[in-house]
Amino acid sequence: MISRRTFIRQAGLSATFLSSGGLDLLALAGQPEMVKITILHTNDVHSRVDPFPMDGSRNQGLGGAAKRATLIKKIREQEKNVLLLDAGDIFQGTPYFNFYQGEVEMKLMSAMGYDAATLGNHDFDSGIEGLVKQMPHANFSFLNANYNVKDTLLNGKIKEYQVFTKSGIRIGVFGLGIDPDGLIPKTLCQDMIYLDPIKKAEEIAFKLKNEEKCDFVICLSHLGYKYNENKVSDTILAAETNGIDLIIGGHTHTFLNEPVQAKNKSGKPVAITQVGWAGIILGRVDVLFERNRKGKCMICNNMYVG
Amino acid sequence: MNFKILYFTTFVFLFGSCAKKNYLADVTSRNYRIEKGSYTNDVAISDMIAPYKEKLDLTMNEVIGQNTTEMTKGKPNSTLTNWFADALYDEMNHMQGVKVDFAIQNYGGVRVNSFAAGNVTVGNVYELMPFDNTMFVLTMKGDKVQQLFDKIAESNGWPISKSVQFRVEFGKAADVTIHGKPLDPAKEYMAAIPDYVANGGDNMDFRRDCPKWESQKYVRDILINYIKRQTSMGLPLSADPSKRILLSGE
Repeated sequence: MISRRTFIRQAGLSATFLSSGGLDLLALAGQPEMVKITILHTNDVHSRVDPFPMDGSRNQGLGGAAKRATLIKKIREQEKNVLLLDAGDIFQGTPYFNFYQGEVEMKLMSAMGYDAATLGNHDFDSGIEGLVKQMPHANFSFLNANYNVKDTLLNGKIKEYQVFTKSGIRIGVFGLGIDPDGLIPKTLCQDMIYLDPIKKAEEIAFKLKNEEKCDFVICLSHLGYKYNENKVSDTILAAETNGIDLIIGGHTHTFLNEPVQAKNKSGKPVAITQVGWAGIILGRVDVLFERNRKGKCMICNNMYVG
Repeated sequence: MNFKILYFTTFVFLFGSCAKKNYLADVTSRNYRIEKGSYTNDVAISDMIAPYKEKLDLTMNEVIGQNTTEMTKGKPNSTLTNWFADALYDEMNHMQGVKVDFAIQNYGGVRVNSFAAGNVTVGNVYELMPFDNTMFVLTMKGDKVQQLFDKIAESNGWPISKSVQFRVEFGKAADVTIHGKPLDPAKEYMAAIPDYVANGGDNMDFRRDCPKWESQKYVRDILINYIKRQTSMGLPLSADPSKRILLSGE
């Protein structure tokens, strides 16, 4: 049930090595301070509050908010620096949404301590008005950089990005949404204007890395992992931008066993991940940082030094 | 204690040229699958859910029918998509004063991959069709119907009622028949289509100008009514694997 792998390991030391036999060696080298950031993520939970019913269907018994909450709590007990993120389509898929219009989902995510979410196309299923109505139940941020909402009720309710500082590490998180044309009826998204996600991503990632001095940039994307046609997706986003380190995706309900390694416009690594849908899987990415005053990294993996 | 030295040291520590820098050293990952026996329920979260669930269960747990065999979703045809479209077709035609030639549903609107055998509850139908889409009846000339079926062929098949048959040739619909007769480009057909599609969803934007009648009934409620009507006649739901959309060479 668990897949674990150091997916960037060339010439680097794995976290396991650091916490065991590597210590003596590191002590000799001046023992750099290591900080681990634990990123937990979901996408396309689609109002799956209870586990799938035990009715003999394929996903029976899987998922469920109360179980996910226990798991998240357990991880928080073990890790100091946890970020909990969602890549959109929080709404729609079970009667909880039809009956309570998203109130339950927002309250549960708030109680679990979500830090931020981006907006999926289904989060507009009861219109912008319906979405805005549920926002008071959420104590986390809604991030999107490529929907211009200034002429809608969402104005001032979503942010392009947010920077989280954990143990001296600055993590920049921004959101991208899918083209609503042909996907979200005009009556529901009204005067919201879709902007080119690639252009917007470049702009925001640059700002996060250079002005906000972020050490790591995460894109919460609801573009979808990959398409047969030339439609913009996470794989295209990764290849055609600079500055993003990790894309947490959604929309296509793609189950990736581990993040896929891609290269950005300058050939630097970008990891793309997505964990299916319905809260069946909680994804986890641990990012390890070395902090020192030496002016260079002592144990860094060559691939990530640029 | 020399406070001057302490002050100086602190100053250097905080603002000195050798400020700490952060270097990305390694990235690792792990997926946790949330299975039935894997984790206990968080009590606080369960307590939050309970009052909502209680109210919901009253409606959702009502058994409205029986399903003989598991139905699954697939393209170009499948037992579940066939059943879905046929149920819409039957129930629309059962409505007073409505006569449709065929019914379709967009593939993405069928939200479960399998519909289990056994009791069918209101909740099961909600999961199958969670969207609050309503049904429209469009009056379409044959040439528009052809365009619609071309789009369906292009996406390798959608749920379509048994009154229709065609073959996918080079991404288009060929040899189209409705009620066993070749499609007549000049004839008008009545098509039962969810409002989402009729309003241009899934890039079906070319049919906005067709005359339409709005049933103002949710697709989901049409399915629920169909199941209840079958049950009242003593009939269980049954899978129909027949092919409406054939692939090239079939």
